[in-house]
Amino acid sequence: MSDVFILVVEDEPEVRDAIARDLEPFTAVFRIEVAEDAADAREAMAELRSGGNEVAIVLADHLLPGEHGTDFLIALHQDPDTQAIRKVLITGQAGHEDTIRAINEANLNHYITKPWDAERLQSVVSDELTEWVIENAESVLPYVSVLDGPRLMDTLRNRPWKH
Amino acid sequence: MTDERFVILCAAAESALAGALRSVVDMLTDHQFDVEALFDDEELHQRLDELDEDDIRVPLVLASDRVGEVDGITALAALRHRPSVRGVRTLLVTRRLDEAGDAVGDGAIDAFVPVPWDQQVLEETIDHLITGYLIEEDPAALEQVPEIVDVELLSHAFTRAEERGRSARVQLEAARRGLLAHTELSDDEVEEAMVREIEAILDHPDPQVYPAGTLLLESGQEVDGITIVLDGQINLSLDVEGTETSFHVRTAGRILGILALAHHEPALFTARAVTDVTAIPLTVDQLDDALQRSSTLSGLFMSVLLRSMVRRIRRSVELRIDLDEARQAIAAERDQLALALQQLDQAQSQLIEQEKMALLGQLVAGVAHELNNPIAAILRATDYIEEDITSLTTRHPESQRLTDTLIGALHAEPVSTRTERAQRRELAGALGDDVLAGRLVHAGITTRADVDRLFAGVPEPAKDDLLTSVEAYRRLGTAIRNLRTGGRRIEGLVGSLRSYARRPEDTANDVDVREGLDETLLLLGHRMREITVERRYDPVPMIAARAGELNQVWTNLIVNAIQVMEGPGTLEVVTDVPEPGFVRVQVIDSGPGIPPEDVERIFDLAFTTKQGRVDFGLGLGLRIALDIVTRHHGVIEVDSVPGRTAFSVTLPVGNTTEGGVAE
Repeated sequence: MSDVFILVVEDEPEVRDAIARDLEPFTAVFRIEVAEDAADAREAMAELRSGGNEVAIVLADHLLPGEHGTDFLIALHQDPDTQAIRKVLITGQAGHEDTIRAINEANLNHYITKPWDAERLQSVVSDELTEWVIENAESVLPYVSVLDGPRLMDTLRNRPWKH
Repeated sequence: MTDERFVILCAAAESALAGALRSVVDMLTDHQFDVEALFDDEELHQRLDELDEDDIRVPLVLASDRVGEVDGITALAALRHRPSVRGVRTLLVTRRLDEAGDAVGDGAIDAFVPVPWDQQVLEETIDHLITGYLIEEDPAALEQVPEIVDVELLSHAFTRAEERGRSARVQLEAARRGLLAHTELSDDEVEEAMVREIEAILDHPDPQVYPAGTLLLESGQEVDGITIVLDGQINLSLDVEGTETSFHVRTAGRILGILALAHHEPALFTARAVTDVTAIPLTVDQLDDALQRSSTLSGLFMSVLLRSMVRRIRRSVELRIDLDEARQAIAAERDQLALALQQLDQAQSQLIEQEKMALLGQLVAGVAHELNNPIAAILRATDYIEEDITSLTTRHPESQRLTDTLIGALHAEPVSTRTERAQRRELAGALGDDVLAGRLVHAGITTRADVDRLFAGVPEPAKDDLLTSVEAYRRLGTAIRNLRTGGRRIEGLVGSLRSYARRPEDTANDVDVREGLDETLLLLGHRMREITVERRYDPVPMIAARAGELNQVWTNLIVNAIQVMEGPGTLEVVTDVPEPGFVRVQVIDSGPGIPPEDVERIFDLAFTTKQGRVDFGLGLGLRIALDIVTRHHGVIEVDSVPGRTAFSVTLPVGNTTEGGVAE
């Protein structure tokens, strides 16, 4: 059986814990995976995919040891296998230039500054996951209760005669 | 004027030819000129010397194909180099027509006549040559020799002169009359003579009186006559870009408008009566008439004209020199001003930067102080929560398991995500449930043995309930631990900020440079995640210094190092004692290095290199570091090769209060 994952890439354990905890409302349908740097995130993704799982969204910190979050997201966007993943940059430090680069080159879906607000983080992630579900999921039904229900219902109403 | 004597020389190898030539020339010139025959080159020059001594002019030398030892062309061409016979015309009487033609073409001789000669051709040639000579060298003599003057040539000369304008004609006429001889008189005397002559010729016209302030001549105005000033003072001025500029009074002669008239040009200056002026205005026609009637006046007029020109030219040269001097002075002043401005600019930037740093320091110190209370509250509250939760947990039915979980979470060291994943994988293998394994590992239950211990004696239906509680207590413990870790980090930063951003110090204190370096490294830690920091601290003595200022030096050097490394790299911070009484701090980066040609300039204000490889961001950072170190009587040295750039700051220990060596 396959699960759909939310991947959080953040090097500071306390911050990583906090983001993961703020994303708990989604765990009814999604599972959360954490990684401490870009290389670790790639390992985690490879492991998940080999188990038949999918990654729907990546939330990455910009200032990671080694490869920067922005570059990691750009690389994801450039790989056809990972292009569909929704991408969110979380940062306390990225300069304007990095942000602009992420938006232009990684097709960045959202940009969140630290310190973040839990409700706002959840609403952003909910919107992005809803988008992902509409575009990628075989059925929207399992997600209606957790994500943007009305939107998903709309899709459902518009789809039936298509299959 | 006394008649001048002229001598024409005829030089030939054979006396017969020379004699024949002489008699022919003698006849042709009709006794107006003395004609002499010579038989060789040496004799020719000897005779020319004698004539020169006697001030007798030689307008023409004839020669046959041979003159003594040399050929005629050589003999005549040699005369071109004798100053005493400047302008002398040379005529070759020759059988060698080709050579003679070339010689004329080359300018070696003026003309040739073939042998045997045609009387008329010879006569015309001689007339032409002599006339040409006289027009150029002695126009006054033309009158004495009307018979031989080549009328065509003379009228040609006149036509040319006409074309050059009235002044040239007047000049030529005056010259022809030989009246250009007032050199011994002063300007005033010549002018006075001219005024008297005009008055005499025009039968003493009535002078007019122009009251002071009258405009006698306006700059740019066409001049239709001249004004002869008998009495009073005139000011000459010129409108220069809207400003009326007066010129030296001595530029003004007594005769106004003479130069403009002579040049057919509008008046250059404006002439205004300063005092009441008595003057005779003359129209062009009146002046022309007077000049026609008196050759004396013509000469005087010429003389006045020349002198006016000379005065104006001299004045113009003087003005030009004045102008050049003024221009040089202005240029020098401008350079000095530019330099001063640049220095001011630099000083100002530095002051602003220092002021900014000082303000920032005060602000930071203030903010740090204000943060103390909230952070203390947070840390205390964390302790209270921990105490109360621990106490509450003891009352829970699963008190033992949950207390273990809580305490474990509170004191757990953060585990890397890789390790956690590996634990999960292993546990999932053992339990056959990936999701459950994930929950357990996250809750701190990482091995099969732990799982067994947790669920020992728990009935199957209650297991999930227990796990949910354990997860909650684990999260609670982790949250409290994170709260404390975060709070302590803030506390540490606040402490560093306060000691770093001290208020401006007036006096030096005992400073351990290692403390300042540590504080700086801590504060810049967020910018150095990709950088490996190696601290190598030799024991160093305390030094007498202003700690806040030194911190600024360390900050600027370290920020600089971070920036040039542009990403991963190694930063070495070293302290040692290079010699007794001194402390040295080295900040060494693994960046690209400073090109040798730029090393000299890195302490210049706002120095950057083109590629931005040495763009120091702060711009003034290194300069300010240098200034602070200098104020502490220390030195900064740079040693840079690609891959290793070391900034060394050496400071004297100075008068410390303790005088002891730390550690």
